[in-house]
This record gives sequence, C-alpha cells and structure tokens, in this order.
Amino acid sequence: MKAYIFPGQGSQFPGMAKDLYTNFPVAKQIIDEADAILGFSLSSVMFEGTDEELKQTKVTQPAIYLHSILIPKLGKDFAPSMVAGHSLGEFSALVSAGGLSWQDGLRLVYQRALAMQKACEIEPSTMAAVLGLPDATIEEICNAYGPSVVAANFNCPGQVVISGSVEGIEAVGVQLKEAGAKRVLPLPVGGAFHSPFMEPARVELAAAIEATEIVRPICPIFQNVNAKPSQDPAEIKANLISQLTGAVRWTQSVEAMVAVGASEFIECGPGKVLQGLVRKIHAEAVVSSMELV
Amino acid sequence: MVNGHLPIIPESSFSEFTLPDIDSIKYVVGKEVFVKSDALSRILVHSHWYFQPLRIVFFLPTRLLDIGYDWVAKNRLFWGKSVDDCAI
Repeated sequence: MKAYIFPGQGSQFPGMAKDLYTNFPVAKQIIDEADAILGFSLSSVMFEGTDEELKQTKVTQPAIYLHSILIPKLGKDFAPSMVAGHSLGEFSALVSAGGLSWQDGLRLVYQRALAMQKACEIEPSTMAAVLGLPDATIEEICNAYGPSVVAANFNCPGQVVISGSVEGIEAVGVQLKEAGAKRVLPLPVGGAFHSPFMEPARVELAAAIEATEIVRPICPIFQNVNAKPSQDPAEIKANLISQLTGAVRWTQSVEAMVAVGASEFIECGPGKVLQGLVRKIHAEAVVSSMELV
Repeated sequence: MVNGHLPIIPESSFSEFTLPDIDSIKYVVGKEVFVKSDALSRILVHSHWYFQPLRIVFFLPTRLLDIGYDWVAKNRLFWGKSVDDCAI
C-alpha cells in the first residue's frame, strides 16, 4: 500500500519550486494565485530569497505548503491508500487527499504561521533536537522538570525535539546529556512549537479552522497528535487545532501506517527529510520522492 | 566485481545460505562471509589507490579493530548532524 507523506518546517531551501514554476504551467498558475491570495510575493522569497529570509516562520510555512501541494498535482499516478504530514505538512496532506481546497489551506497555513510567530514574541522560548536517547527517557526527564519543557516532535528513534522556555531547554539539555544523549542541538527557531507556549496561536487558529469547510478526504489521514487514521471532518479539524500545542508523533504515525499495510512511502514536497526519518523508523520501507510527469 | 565495482546485494536476496545474524556489513566471497573489520579489510583491497594506505591499520588485532568498528557504527549517525534538516 502506498502512503504519501508531506514535510513540515525544516525542508525549505533557497530556490525551492522555481523549477516547477518554470517548467509546469499549472504550477505557475497556482503560485501566481498564491501570491495574490497572500498579498505579497512569496514566490520571490522562494526563488530568490536567502536562507535567512526563508527561515522566517511566516514565509517558511506557506512556502513548504505551496511546494508540497503542487507535487501531487504535477506527479504521476497520485493514488494514496493513506496520507500523513509532519506538523504543517498535515495541511498539505489534507489538501492532497481532497479534504480541503488548496486556497483555504494556504490561508490557514499563513494564518497559522503568523499566529505562531506572534506567540513566539510573547515569551522567549525555543527548541532543541535530542539525539540518541530513548523517547521514554526524554519524556520522563521533561515531565520531571515541569510543564515548561515538553517532548514536541518524535521524529524517529533516536531523534526527538524538545520545546519550551529558554532556561528550561538549557537545564533539561544538561540532564539529557547526563542521561546519555549523544547530542543536544539547540535549534535556530524563535519559539517553542508544539508546546503550551503556542496556546495563543491555538486559540487564534481554532476559530479559523472551525470557519473553514473541510470535507471527507478520499483516504485516511494519519494525524500527528494521536497517530491514528481519520476521515471524519470534525475529528480532523479538532486534531489540526490540537496539533499546535500537542506533540508531533511522527514515529508512531509511521508505525501505525506500517501496521495497516503501508510498505511504500512517497514524499511530496521540498527535500527528503521525511524519507530519512521513515527509513530509520521502518528499515524495510520503500521510500521515494514523487515522480513528476 | 561488476564493471569494476563491488556489487551491493540486499541480504533478502541470499537464498543459497543463511547470513550470520549480526549487525554489521557483510562481505561474501563464494560461501565465505566476512563481517565487521574483517569485511572492511577485504573491501579495502578493491578500493581506489588513495585508500590503500589505510590498509596498514588492519595489522592491528581483529578484536581491537572490531571494537573500533562498533564504536564508529554506533556513532556515525550523530556526526555532522545538521540542525537545518531537523523536522519541526
């Protein structure tokens, strides 16, 4: 069975989607329309922007989303048995599975990015990648520290991202190293994504998601917060909202997809970050990028 | 050798005999299987000339070389890890 997967923040690169814009009239039309919807030229930043410009949350998220939703439209034989997206990739997955229009998806992703950026400015917070320590140990140490640090992204065995207050991440980082973590890498992000620090953004986005029409997708979508499949629009909406303050359970999502028969994982979007993660979660999985027509 | 390269064959395609269940690179010659540093020393024989000086380390005892092999194997994923490709 084929699972189509969609990346989140971390897959952006300068010049992204420029080849699609140049070679595919459909891509050009969608990107031009996206610029008009957003009211600024996202495409200029994607095509000519520097790495730094592209790393601003309000740019990164719509850029990755736009690149990702184009791939299934331009690709060969998009026939998903199931879909999943990493963090913001959940919106791209839902659009590609027919549950949400790409225009509404873009508006939500942009609003999500702005709300997250705003939440980041309220209180200093950050994230760090923890390498080489079991998930349970990381969760245990975070829980013991208190609510200001949480395990936010279960990316693959041996790679978990923690999220929280600046001093909390620093203190927990020391404890994790003492507990045997190979490395604790502070991430260059200005906020604690997927943690209670994103509550103001969650409240803001909840209203927008509730007001947007989401229909039953053509296949189940495995969502980040519970790593379970769903085709129910109300449940999908609730999970999209919870995701802002909840953990991205990517390891568990891939394991759940494998459990129901996924053997081939096709990444739709910029880069190959998810392919690497899937390989580490399930070594036998066949992974690839979607082939374009 | 195939076209001057050592072929990499998935373990699942071996049907004639069972490969040892050991977490290591496996180098097969006929029905002989070499693992860990032993496999590397044999592969190195077929590598480019500029890797040949590395063969000198294989004069060390295999047990010591295997400890080094295990250490590198355990840690290689964490070397050079970039924060830029971390999915958040």
